Amino acid sequence: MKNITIALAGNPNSGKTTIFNSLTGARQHVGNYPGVTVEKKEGKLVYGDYDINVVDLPGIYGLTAYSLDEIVARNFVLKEKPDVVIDIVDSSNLERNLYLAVQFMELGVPLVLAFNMSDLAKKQGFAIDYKKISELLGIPVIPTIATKKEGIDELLKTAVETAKGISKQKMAKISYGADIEAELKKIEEVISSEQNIVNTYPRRWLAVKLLEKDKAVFEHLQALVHYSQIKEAVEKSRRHLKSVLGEEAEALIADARYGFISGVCSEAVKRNYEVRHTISDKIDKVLINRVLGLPIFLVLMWAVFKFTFTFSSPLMSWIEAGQKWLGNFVGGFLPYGGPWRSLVVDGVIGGVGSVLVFLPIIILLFLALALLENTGYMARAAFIMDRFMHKIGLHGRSFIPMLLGFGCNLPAIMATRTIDDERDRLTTILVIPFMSCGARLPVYTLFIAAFFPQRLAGNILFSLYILGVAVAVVMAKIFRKFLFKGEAAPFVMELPPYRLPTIKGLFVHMWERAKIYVKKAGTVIFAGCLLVWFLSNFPRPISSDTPVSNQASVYLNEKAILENSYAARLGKAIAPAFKPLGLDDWRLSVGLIGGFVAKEIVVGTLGTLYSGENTTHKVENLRQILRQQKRPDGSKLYTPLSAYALMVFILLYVPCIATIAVIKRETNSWRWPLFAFFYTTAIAWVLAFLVYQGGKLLGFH
Amino acid sequence: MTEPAFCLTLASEGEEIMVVRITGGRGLQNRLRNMGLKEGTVLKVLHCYRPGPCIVLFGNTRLVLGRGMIRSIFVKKCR
Repeated sequence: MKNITIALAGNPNSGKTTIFNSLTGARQHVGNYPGVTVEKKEGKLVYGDYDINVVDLPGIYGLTAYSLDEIVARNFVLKEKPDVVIDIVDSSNLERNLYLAVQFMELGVPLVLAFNMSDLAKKQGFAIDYKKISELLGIPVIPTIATKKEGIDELLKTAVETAKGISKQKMAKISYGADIEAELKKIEEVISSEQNIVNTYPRRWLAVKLLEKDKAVFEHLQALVHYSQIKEAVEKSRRHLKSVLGEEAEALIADARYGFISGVCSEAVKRNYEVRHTISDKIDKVLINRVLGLPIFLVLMWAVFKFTFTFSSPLMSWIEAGQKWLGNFVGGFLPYGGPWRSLVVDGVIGGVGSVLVFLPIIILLFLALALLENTGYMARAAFIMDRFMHKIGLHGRSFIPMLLGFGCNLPAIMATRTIDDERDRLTTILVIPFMSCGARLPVYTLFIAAFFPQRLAGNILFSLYILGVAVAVVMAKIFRKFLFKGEAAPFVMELPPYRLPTIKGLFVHMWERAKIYVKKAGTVIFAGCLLVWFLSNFPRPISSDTPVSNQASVYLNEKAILENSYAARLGKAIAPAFKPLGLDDWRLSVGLIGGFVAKEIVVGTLGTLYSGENTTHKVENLRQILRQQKRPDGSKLYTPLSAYALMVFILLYVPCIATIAVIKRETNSWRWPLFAFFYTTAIAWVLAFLVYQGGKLLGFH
Repeated sequence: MTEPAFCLTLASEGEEIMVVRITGGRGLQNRLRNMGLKEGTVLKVLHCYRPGPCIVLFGNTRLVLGRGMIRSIFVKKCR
C-alpha cells in the first residue's frame, strides 16, 4: 500500500464539504492546523493500492496573506506538499471560482479541477465544454454533482493518476503582459541568489507574491542575506509599474488573472440563456424582506428551540430510565454505605449519566442549526441582523459566531477568526459567553421540568435565550463605546443560493458536534464529577468505613459524611453570597463551583449531592428530589421564582474552563480570559438579584 | 458624455451600475478582488437596507456588503 495525500480546496459554498463527505464517509478526524486555531478536517479512504488521506482546506477565495484561512491553506500546500490538490469549482460561478484555481496554478502544484454543481450551471443556461477548458488550462477537469455523488469516482481516479504522475501536467502559464513580465524577471533574478529559498518555493510564484507585496512572504524572507536587495528591487518594480500603467501592482496582476480567465471562459463556455431571477432571488424577496425578514428570523429561531425541546423529552426519559436501572443493578453487587458503592452509583453512574441524558437535546439542536446553515439561511440571518449588529457597533459577520454560541461557545469563539477587525473580534469574543450554549441546556431543562408546567417549558427556555442575547447586546455596545473605540470594519460576505441540504451532510455535521460534546462529557466532566464526588465524600468520619446494612443508619451515615465533607465547607463559605438571590443552599453553591469546569456539571453535581440524602437509596429522579428540598424552617428551598433566578445566574456566570482556555488562546493573553471570568460573574449576580427580588416585589414566588 | 460617479450608498434597489473605483485599504480591495468585484464589474443592487447592508449581484455571485463597504465603492449608471 502506498500513501497519497489529497488536499481539497475551493471557495466557500462550492460544495467542498459535500465532496469531502462523499469521499471519506464517516472516517473523519477534526483537529487543528499546527500553531493556529483554524479547524483541520482529515479523512481516510482506500482506493486500489492506495491509502489516501484527504485534507479539507479552509474555504477560501484566494491565496493572499490577508486572511488567516488563506495563509493556512497556502502553507499547507507549500510545506506539506500534498500529492495532488483538488480545487472544487462552482460551475455556475466560473470566473470567480477559477480565480482561486489560477492561483493554485501559479503555485505549480499537481492540480485537478472538480466542476461541481454542473447540473445547476446547465439549468442556468451555461453550456460548458469541459474538454476545452481542460486543454486551455492544461489541467484535468471533471464535472461533478456532489449532492448526487455523480462524477466522484471519476474525480478520485483522475486525482490518483495525477498524484502518481501518470497524466503529465502541462499547466498553462498565465501571462501578465510585457511590462509586468519584465519586472517579474528582474525580481526572479534577484531572488535566485538565495539558493535555499528557490529550492523550496516556485521562483515565479515568489516573484509574483513579492510584486503583490505579500506580507507573509516578505516576513519569511526577512532573515535572508539579500533581503534588502530583494526589497529594493520589488519597490523599484512597483514604482515603475505604477508610473507606466497607472495602477498598483496587485490590481494589475489581478486584472491579468481575470483577463486570462475570461479568455478561457469565452472560448469554452456558452451562455444559452440568462436566468435573471433565480428561485433563490424569489425566496429572498420574502425571507429578507425589509419588513418580514426579522419576524421570520425570530420565528425560525423559536422553532429551532421548540423542535429541540419537544422531540428530546421522550428520548431523555428513556435514557433516565436506563440510568436508573443500571444504578440499581450495579449497586446491588456492592455493600450499602461503603465508599465503593457510593463511588460507582453516585459518582460515576449518577454524575456522568446525568450529563449523558441531555445528549438528545445537543444532537437535535445541532441538527436544526446544521439545517439552517446548509440551506443557506444562516448567511441571510447575517444580512438581516447586520442592521442591528451595526447599532451595537458590530456587523453581521459577528452575528454568525454569536449564533454558533448557542451550540457551544468554543467553536463560536474560534469562528471569530473570520472577523478581520481586532476590536470587533475582541468584542464578539467577550460577549459570546452570554449566548446560551448547549451545555447550559441540561441545567435549564432540569429546573424547567421540575418547577414549571410542560405548557410553559418552551417559553421559559426561550426567555432565557433572549435574555442572554439582550445582555450580550448591551455589553457589546458598552465595550465598543468605552473599551474598543473606533468605527466598525467593512463587512463583506457571499450569499450562497438556497440549497436542499443532503441528509448525510446534516448528520455528519450533527455527529461531529455530538462527538465533541460526548468527548467533553467523557473526560473533563467525568473528572469533574469524580472530583466533586471526592470533595463531598471526604474526609470520611471514622465509623463510615464499616459497611452497615440497616437502612436508617445508612441514611444517617451518608448525611454525616456529606455535612463533614470538603464540599460542604467550601459551599457553606460562599453560600451567603447567594442568599439575596434566594438560593441559600450550600449544595447549590458546590454545584456552581463545579459549573466552572463545565456548566453541565451543575446537573451532575446536584445529582451526586442530593442523591446522597435519599433514604431508599435508589437512583431517584433528580427533579423529584429538587422539588422536595426544604429549608430548616420548612419553606420550600426551590420555588419557580428562585429556580428562574438560578437559571439566569447559570446563563450568565463564569464561562466554562474550556471557553476560558480558548479565549486565552485566541487573544494570546491572560488579560481577556480573566476579565471575562470576573465581569460575567458580576453581571450574573446583579441580574439574578434583580429577578429574584423584583419578582418577589411583584408577588411571584 | 460620461456618467458621473457616485457612491454605492446612493444606488437604489434594482439599479444596474458599474464599479469605477474602490477606495479603502489594500486588504479590503484585495478581498473584493478575490471575490470577483473590481473596477469595471457591472452590479445589480438586489436588496438594500439603506444605509446598509446591501446585496449586489454580478455574474452569479451575490455579495452582502456592509455599510462601511458600500461607502468605499464608487459606481456609475449603466446605459
